[in-house]
Amino acid sequence: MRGEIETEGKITPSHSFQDFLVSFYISLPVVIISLISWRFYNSNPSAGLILFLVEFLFVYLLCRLPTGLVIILAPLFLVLLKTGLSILLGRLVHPNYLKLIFYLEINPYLSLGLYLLRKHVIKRYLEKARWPINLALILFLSSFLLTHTFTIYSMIIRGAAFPSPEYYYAIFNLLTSFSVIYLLFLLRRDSGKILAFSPRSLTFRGSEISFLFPGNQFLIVYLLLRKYTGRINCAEISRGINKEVSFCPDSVDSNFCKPSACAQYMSVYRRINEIRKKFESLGIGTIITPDNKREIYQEGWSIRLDPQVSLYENNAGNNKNNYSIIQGQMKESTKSLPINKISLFPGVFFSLLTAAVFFYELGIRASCTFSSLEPTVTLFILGILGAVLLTLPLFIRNWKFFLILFFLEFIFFQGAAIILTRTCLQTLTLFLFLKNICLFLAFFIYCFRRFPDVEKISSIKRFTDSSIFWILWSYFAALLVLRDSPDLSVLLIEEPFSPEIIFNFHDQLLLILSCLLVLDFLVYRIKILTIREESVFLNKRALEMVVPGVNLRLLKIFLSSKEKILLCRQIVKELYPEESDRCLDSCKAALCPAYQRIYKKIQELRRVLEILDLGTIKSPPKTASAKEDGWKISLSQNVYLEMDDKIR
Amino acid sequence: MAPVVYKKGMKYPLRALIFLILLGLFGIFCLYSVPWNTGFPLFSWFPVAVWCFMGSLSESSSIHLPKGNIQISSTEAIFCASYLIFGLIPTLFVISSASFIYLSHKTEGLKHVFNTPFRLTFFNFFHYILILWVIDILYRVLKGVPGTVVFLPSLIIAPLFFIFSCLLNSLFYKLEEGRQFWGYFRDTFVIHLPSASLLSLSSLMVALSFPKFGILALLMFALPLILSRLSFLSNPEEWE
Repeated sequence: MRGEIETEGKITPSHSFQDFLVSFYISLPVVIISLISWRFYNSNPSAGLILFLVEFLFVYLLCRLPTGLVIILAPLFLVLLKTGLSILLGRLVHPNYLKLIFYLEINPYLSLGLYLLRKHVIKRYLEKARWPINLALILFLSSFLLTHTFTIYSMIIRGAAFPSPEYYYAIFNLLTSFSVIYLLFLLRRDSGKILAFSPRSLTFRGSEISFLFPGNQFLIVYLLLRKYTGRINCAEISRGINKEVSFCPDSVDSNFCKPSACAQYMSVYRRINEIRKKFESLGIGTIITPDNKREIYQEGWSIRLDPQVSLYENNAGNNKNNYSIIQGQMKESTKSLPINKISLFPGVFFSLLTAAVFFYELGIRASCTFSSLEPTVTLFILGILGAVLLTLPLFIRNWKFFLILFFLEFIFFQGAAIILTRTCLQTLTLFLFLKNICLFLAFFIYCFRRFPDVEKISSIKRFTDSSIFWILWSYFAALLVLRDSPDLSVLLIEEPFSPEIIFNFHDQLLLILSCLLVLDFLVYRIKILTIREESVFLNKRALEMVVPGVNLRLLKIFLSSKEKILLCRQIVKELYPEESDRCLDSCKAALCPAYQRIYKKIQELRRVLEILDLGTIKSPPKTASAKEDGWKISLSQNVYLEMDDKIR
Repeated sequence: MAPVVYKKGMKYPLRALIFLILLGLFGIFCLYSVPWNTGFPLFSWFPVAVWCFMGSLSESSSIHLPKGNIQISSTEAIFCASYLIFGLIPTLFVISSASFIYLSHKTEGLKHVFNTPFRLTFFNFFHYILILWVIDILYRVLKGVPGTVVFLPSLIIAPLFFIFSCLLNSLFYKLEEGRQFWGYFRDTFVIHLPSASLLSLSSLMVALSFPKFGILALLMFALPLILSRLSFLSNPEEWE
């Protein structure tokens, strides 16, 4: 078994004690700072303890909030409030309180974010984010934990006095890193697709799918899943299907068993092939057969699950409700990312800010290059040129022009960084080189949404998905290794607008923005539905195994209709033309056998569409209004439709 | 022409055999031309041993690409970092370690040097030696000093470890299995070029951080590097 699960569907129950503990944990840094300031610097701890109480109550209320917009706005408000209060206490009580913002609060607040994410985000969305969660976990493991280890290591090396505040802060930070790692692991576990089976049911991602495996197919699936770690051969399957089977020996004997002449073997072989196709179409995995077909009857078959699928045996029998995804949330989950719409203002603002900071930094740090030049004029001209080059692609709608401009600005920024800093500091050259790569990655992902061409997205994603992690990692490592990180809490008091503060702020902002954009991009998975005469294909794989017969025709009718809405009588006309003359304006849907049949088919089709993450079918609000309102198919935004080679 | 995968008992292609012999001779020449008599550069044995272990670990976590019938790993980045941190001779130790000491779990069981065909181990070892020799010359020509990071030269040589390895592998598979050189290169390796180039860039970061953080810099690199197989596994069709 891959993983064990405790609760399904809803990820964590709302639990007041858990919320209480989380609130206490989040507010803990204030107590630590107050006590350390009191112990080492004799400052009054009362203000810190009041802040602790306020924060504790606020976080507790935040944890108890129901899902909604407030769950995004409230933490933002909390962070801003806490920052303001920390600066205030830093100025009025002791500068140590400024360490809250830049040092001690990072891990607890990350933990709070992950806790709320886990509590409120529905499981189906988490499933899509499996890959980014993995990357986030690796990034965090390899960065934060080691950053803290480095800090403690360097303190030991330089022989810092023990006990000292630095030791306490470093140890506290190291310990709180574990909470983030723990929560990321929990999220990773939650993001798995759960395949639960019992002798009577088979659920995948919370939906019952046993109806896709009629007759003995279901029993074969059950037997294969029971022997997930090993192989199962024809004799074992035959005995599993019919215990009284007499024509299979206890142990397979090649002298006795002749598969090519055995009807039972042929039947099992055919069914397993069908199961394999269904498993592949559903994204569950595949069934492995030995390379040599002659050995199949002896060695048998084994299941290989997709890495995202976790297998779970439900011994209690059919406990369907435990696994059901909350249907009401389905509407939200199908909302995909609006890939072809971008807001220009943040892009322009960030581009101008980046150009200004970039050339300001060059002016400050690459002064040796400017010994024979007039730095202000040169940098001003370069800065204006850089700002124009950075903002211009945001307004371009032509793909080729966009690429040319993008390439030009990349060369311009990298060239400026290398030429102007090469003679001064090699570490700065490398840092700016990496920063530019990270910047242009974020910029590309941001602008890319203006060109919603499926071919381009597919080809670019093929290359980028595996490499963007390394850009982020390299930039993060560069921040850690190449940047001399000043004590921001001291600088903020002494020189709040010093270049160091600005550069540091911009570096961190770029890292956060890049991470968010990259996560957003990685979650986006393209699905191409191709409608042909013979069948419907999902990413070139025929769907007829999971959407059989009439349901497939129904799907084709839905997808070919202009409005994507079908009335009951339209469906009857297409599927059961012989009964269409019975359709009257005054018909009673509840009494109509054709309506009942269609209703059942639509239910089955909807379930398959939801399992495959393609979208859903929205029913009319009342059964009686089906003949006027009809059913509407709504596809997720990452689903592209191709009809006879014409892309929608 | 469809590729013919060589199996035991089949007649080994003559041109592939000639290629292996030439590669071996050239590899021995490269080893001979290493300035052994100049003495070992100043380096601590412990970090080199850790880096050798990393090389073995990386090779052990290689993944199989069924399409190209080849194992792919992040070992080239380890060699690059090793060359930039320690220089030429310690990198030879790292190459030897990665080529001969590995243990990977495949569907057919545990795989190690004793059950891997000799010709593959031979090719692996000597093609890395050849690549290191070429890169060492290139680095010196570009005014770089082995064992030290000089920005532009190291930026140029870092991705070359992977690219040269891909080219030599394509040539080997062309001669042994009759595949098309550019077709094989394009279909098997091009998709991994961006991530491998960026991986080599991060090996530069490790080389830079080594003087500051010492052995911890290697550890900082170790975890994501070993997990980098995840980035090679991004395409589900290539999972084994």
